[in-house]
Amino acid sequence: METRPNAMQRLQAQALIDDVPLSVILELTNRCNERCVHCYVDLDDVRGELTTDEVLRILDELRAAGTLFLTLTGGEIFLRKDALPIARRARELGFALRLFSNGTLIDEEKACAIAEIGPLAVELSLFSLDPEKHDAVTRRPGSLDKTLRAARLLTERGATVVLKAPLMHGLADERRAVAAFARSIGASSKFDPTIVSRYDQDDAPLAFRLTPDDFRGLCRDPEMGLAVDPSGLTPPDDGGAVCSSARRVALISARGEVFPCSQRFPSAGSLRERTFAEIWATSPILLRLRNVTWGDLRTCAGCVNASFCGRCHLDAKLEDGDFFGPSRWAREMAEARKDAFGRGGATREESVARRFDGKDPVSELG
Amino acid sequence: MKTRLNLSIATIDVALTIDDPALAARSEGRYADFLRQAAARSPLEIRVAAAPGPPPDDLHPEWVANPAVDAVGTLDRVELRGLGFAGFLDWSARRGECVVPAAQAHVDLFVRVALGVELLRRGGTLLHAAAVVRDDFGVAFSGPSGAGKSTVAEISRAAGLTVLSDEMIAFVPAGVGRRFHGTPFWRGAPLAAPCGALVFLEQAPRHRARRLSPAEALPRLMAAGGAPLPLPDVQSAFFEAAGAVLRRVPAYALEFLPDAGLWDALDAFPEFSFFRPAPPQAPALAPPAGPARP
Repeated sequence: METRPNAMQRLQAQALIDDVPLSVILELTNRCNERCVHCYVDLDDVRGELTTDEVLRILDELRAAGTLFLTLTGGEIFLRKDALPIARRARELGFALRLFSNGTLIDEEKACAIAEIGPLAVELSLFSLDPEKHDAVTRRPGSLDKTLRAARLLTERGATVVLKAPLMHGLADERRAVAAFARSIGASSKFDPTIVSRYDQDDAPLAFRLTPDDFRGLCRDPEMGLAVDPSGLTPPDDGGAVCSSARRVALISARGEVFPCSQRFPSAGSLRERTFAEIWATSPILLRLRNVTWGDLRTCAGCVNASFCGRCHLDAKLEDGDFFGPSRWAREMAEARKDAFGRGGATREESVARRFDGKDPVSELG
Repeated sequence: MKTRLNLSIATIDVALTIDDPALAARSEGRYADFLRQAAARSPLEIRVAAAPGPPPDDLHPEWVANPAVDAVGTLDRVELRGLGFAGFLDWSARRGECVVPAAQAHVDLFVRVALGVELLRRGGTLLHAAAVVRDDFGVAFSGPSGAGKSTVAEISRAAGLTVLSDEMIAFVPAGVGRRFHGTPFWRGAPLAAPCGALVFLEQAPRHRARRLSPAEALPRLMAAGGAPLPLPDVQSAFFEAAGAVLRRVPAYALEFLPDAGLWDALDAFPEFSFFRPAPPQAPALAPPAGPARP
């Protein structure tokens, strides 16, 4: 069935063609009051955090560059005293703002201020409703109660809250209770099977990844939707982008370094030395990445499972040694997706038609 | 008897119909790596007729190798004339005709002009550069004649790298990406790789590299050349294309000695060293046993 792209899809497609940094993740700090077992941030590296003035200047530069979706994340953003003024300024500049937080530092006053600022969503990390399990992930006893309190305070004041968690081995089943709790307080929930190595390339977090069998189980759950469904994946066209990294997505570290999507890449440049526009237009690492398409991937371009694969360049490089090669983990997940959704080799279009009545859900990805 | 050769060079399809058997045989050998089995849907059709006149051996060898050309026209259509040859190429009508001495260089000239202008019309361009594939990216080496392009190509071949071309490459848009393609001018392969770097060569008693801003690189790129004809429209389009190249390809100046150590100077940049394939490590697909897990 032919589907006509909606406005968001057209915007995202055009941003890919024109290299507009539509979505930027700004890490305000590496500091965190939790120590999540799977976290990719180097939490001990807290040197040289951007000052308030520097962050505000960067917001202006991002607006000029065409950024629409801005995510403020950390570490824990509310360990910075200026997190709310920064968020407020971001909204004044017209960004569709997301705040990532563990919620433990959100009290009534902050919840009121956040609701008044009006972000697109406040996304709180919640791994389980069982304190033993949640606190085992955060490695901070009592953290669950604080996160749940923040979720309630925010929703009661009209803020849009998303309870989200990476899907980890041993905890994937917790998603049902988390989703039910989210519904009960008027929030939504979001789950992601992606666990990556740390910024310093320590692969300890990978121990918490789903196993292929875990993932197969999730693929059978109709409520998982885009977290596992291949409809949300980039189609493997010869001249098509493999991912949005360096094209319409960028990440800025707490020290003001620009990255294509993750600090696991080399830095594209420092915003303390050059403007965002200059780095975005001329950084060699960004330029190189923009020239790579599906057709350049030696093995993956001809793979029969390509339509089911969420391959990541960095995972392929850092875990399997070859940036242009296949990622073993992605391949395992692709096989599981194909088993669940492929039914003998369905195309992406067929999957969209069957699962979503022909209405392509990619726009939900934001 | 006419011979039809279906060429595919840097994504451009060219069909040569040659009425001289000897010239057809030479052209078939010349473009052997770029021949395609089936005819393309709408190639540039170029009819080549051998002119009556002296055989190539009677002509001055330098002229045979580098025929001087007078050209008039635009990006839509040009007429080409020179000693003993004449012809036209019409990109709007997707066809051309030429009468040439039975010398291969004249066929090459028409094919090169047809390809170069077609690329400009599609947002790409020919570049006067050698290119090799390293870590799956195309690395182009440019500079004036004698700067060392062929030397770098030879060093790279000896090191086991794939050489796309030793003298002239094509910069081609590929969807949202950009690729360097090999061409048959003069020794190349029908291969392509995503654009990784454009390196301007300067022979020196040491290896040393530095990044160039687009403003620094543009005059170097223009000086190296690559415009297929000295016509205002074509030169203007090449200038635009050179800008497009430098918006998508990081540029460097490389002082180098003619040895493989030149790569060490480039590997000092993370955008070169990061993409080196490394020995694979076993990913933790299954979690380890023990109490560390939640």
